[in-house]
Amino acid sequence: MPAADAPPQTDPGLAAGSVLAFEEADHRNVARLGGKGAGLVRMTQAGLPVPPGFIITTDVCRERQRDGRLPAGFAQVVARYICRLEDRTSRSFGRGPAPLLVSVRSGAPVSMPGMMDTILNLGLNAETAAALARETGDRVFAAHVFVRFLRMYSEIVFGASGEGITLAAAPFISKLADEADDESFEQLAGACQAALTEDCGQRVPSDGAEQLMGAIGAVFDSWNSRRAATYRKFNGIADDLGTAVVVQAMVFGNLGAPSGTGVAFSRDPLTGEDALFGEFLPGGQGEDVVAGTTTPTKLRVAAEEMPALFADFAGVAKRLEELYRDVVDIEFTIERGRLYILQVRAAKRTARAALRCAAEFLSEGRLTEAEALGSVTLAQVRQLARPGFDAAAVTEAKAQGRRLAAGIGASPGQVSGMVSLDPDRAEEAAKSGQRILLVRPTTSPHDLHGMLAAGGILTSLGGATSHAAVVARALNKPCVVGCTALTIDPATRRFRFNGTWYGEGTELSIDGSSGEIFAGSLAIASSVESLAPMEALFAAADRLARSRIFARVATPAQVAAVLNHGATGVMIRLGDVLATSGRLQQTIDAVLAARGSGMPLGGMPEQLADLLVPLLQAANGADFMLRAIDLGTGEAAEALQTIDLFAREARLALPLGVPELIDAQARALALALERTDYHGRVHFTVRHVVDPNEMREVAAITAAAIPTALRERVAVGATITSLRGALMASDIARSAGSLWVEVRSLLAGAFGYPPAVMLTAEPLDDYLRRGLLSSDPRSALDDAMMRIFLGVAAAAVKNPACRVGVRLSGAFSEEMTAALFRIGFRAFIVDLDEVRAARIALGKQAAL
Amino acid sequence: MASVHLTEADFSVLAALLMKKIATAGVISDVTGLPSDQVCRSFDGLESVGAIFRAEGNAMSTPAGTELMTAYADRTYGALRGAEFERWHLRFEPLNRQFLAAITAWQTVDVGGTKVPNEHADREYDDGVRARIDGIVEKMTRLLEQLGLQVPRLLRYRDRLNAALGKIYAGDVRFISDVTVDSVHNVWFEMHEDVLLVLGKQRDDAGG
Repeated sequence: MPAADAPPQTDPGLAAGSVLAFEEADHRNVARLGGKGAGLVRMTQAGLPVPPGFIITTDVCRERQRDGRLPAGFAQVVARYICRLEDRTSRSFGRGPAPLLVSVRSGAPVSMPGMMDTILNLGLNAETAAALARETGDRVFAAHVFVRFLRMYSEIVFGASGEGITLAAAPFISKLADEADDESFEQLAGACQAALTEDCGQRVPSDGAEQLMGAIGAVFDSWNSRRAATYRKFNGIADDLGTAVVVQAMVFGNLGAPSGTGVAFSRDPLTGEDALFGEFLPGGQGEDVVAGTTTPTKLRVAAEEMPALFADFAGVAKRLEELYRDVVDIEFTIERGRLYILQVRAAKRTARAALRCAAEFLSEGRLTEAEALGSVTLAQVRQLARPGFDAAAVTEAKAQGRRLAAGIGASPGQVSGMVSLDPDRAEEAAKSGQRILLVRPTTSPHDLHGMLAAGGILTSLGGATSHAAVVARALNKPCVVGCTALTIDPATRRFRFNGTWYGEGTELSIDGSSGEIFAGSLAIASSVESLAPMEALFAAADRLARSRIFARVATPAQVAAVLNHGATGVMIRLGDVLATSGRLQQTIDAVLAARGSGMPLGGMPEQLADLLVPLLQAANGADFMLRAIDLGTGEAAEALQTIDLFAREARLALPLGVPELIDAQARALALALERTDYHGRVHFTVRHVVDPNEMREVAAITAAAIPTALRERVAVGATITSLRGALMASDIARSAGSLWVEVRSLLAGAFGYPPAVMLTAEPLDDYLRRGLLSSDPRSALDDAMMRIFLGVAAAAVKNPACRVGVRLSGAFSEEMTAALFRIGFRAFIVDLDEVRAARIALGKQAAL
Repeated sequence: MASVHLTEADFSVLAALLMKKIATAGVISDVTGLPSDQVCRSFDGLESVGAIFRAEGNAMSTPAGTELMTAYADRTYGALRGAEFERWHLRFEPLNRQFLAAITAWQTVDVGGTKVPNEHADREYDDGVRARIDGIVEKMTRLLEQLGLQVPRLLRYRDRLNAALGKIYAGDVRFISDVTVDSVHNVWFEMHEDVLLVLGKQRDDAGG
């Protein structure tokens, strides 16, 4: 809305448009207005109730930096904008009876540390403080605001410590509480100024205009503070951007009724539910809420008491959601029954809320699919998939009275373990494989080795900032602190909850979020959180990605779980299944006993089929991939200590070293299919294939082992783990029904790195920081590797009958997955707890 | 034991060992800033009076060692403990609280009144926390330099804190609160333990 009077900026020296009122500026011009300023402009022009103000653009800062002084005429222009504020608010700057107070804040185009803090209530002097006291009817409030302003100004503009001011003011404020005369505020001001002068030889100007110039100068100076300059240097930000200054009228939450101040979220930041969430302090000023000196009421309660006002507010919240296209957190003040928006930001929220809001914003048509998917991160999806206590087990434990106490949940996660009261003993016990809970009054660096060994930490003392809390979070271990119901007697190695004593070694369970402590252990569920409200988002991701996602599983329960998470198929490593069912050793023995006689391994197909049937049934028609026994990895490798085995029987290391084994597995698959009514698509893959000849042999053996009727339902294929295999992909694909590339194995081989390097943060993180690698093999595909994958993608094109995909191990890298999707891969095998993350990752990439 | 007198170097070495639990001379040299050969000499002397126990290149302090340390602290700093140290401690306490709050702010964010792990998705927030830590380390540096006039040994913590800060600005955020490196949090806690020893105070457990 253009102002009635055009801004007179024809003074020489100051370019037109260097200072702009909120209603005049163009919010898109963030470079000149700064982030905060641009936001205020935008809201003002959207018709939202923002206290009026103006912005001194970055032009002025730059000019001052260049010329060493403020442009000529600057002070006059600022004075004129102050006049306009006076008109708008019907208040007067630096004089009574209704004083105009302003806030002055820095606003750089890019936010950075080291910039000046906000100065509030500028314009206060003895006269205006007295006027404010009369207007609000509260002398003590006015005195506190005045002293706070003097302190803030001294600290921010003069770098003084300000303590002296508070001390000097105290007796005068007490006096004001009882009585006041015309001199009272003058005396208060005098005392504060004296203290300040003694401290640093300065005085806060009593003239409003001088205060304002001082504050503006301090904002400009802070652009060149050591911290800001260092930050810019490290982050490649130009030093000549300059900062803007936002000058805005203050509003008072304790002026007239109804009034008050509060913070609101347009949606619940914990759950994502579409309900206004927040707090309101009737008759309160902003700083009171932050200081926590009084208890605010819940927003819902305030809304009941002032329904019309909060209906308006709800409308404003929705307008802001439209404007920001996001959930917002709103600082607001109500002055004389009028609502004012002070600050709006994208709201901080939990992972659960982020996913739910994205899904609902999508359903409401506020965001496109691309935007909704772009607004969530894989870290958020993965957080919800974290394993925790089985909900039913917790309910049962509570019903049984096993909930012993609660402390402060300091580091999230849920874990059960044996109590150890000493870090040395904890470390010892953990070495023998025990799950330990370290329980102490508090912790210190002396306890570190015990904390490292424990699965969880519990302290009777301390708060959310204590050593135990900080270290537990750094170690990503569950931790409960400040459990006052807990007493520990280290001498007798016992601890007590309320009335009952327990010995070291007792089993306990702790919940690092809720702070609850249970007796005994609690069952773990693989995915605690229900993600039903977010289904819209996952569905959109699936629709866009149009990919097949296989999850690696080993039990029928896991099959059901991953299908529930949206996997389109399952991948089963037969070696794992044998290991978990305890049949692995006897299978190997049978293979070795056969000694390459060429005879089929009698009995084995039937035994293997027994293991496959329940898995096929659980699969319920979803894609079913069986990966042939491979003794080099997974549970099999651990169980057999494969290196020794391969040294003795090297042929076991080759995919077709024991052809009878392939034959037996194919027969087992056929038998299992005949025994179930599974009608989905089946894959049978062999690992480590490097040559088309091998592939042909696998195909031939399998064809001979599977009855004709079933043959066309089983796609026989290869899992490529080596460069040679990848380079031969096209030729191999010619005889294969499917081809899968193990990305991590390929990269590890290409770089020549052992698992200890590929699977850990260090030493590669340090290596990369030192600039020794141009690409991180754990998370990126450089040109050389991309060429190889392009070759594999090409193999798919040349052999349309062969389904081609990739195997991503562990917590897959989003970057890598996106790159593979971009070159055409649409089939992915992931670990069982990565299905949801995969759906979102692929959807995000597809939406671009 | 009462007749055994530790040198200041010995005391530094013992204090560092108490913190690290088990360490080689190399590690103790890094922590204390003392040259390795001096550390080795200290090790020899300390072992001969039963203050430490050595095996395979690693040293560990013993309960006797802890006693020696406390005795040294009381004897050496006892005379200094007075109004000045008390004033110093009064200025340290709030700074300590601010530091712990800042570290906690790095690790958790407040979402509608509940603390949840910081996902580090909000650059501005993270930068703000780093700035806070920077400011606090700056103030602590001044405090350490003051106390360092009486106890030069403590200046080592100033160097270690600022080294960690440098790594943080260089982008290695492990140096904020990781326990496996010389993070500001780790160093601060070791410093706090040492300062308590010098001042002859107990840790204020309830506050955490």
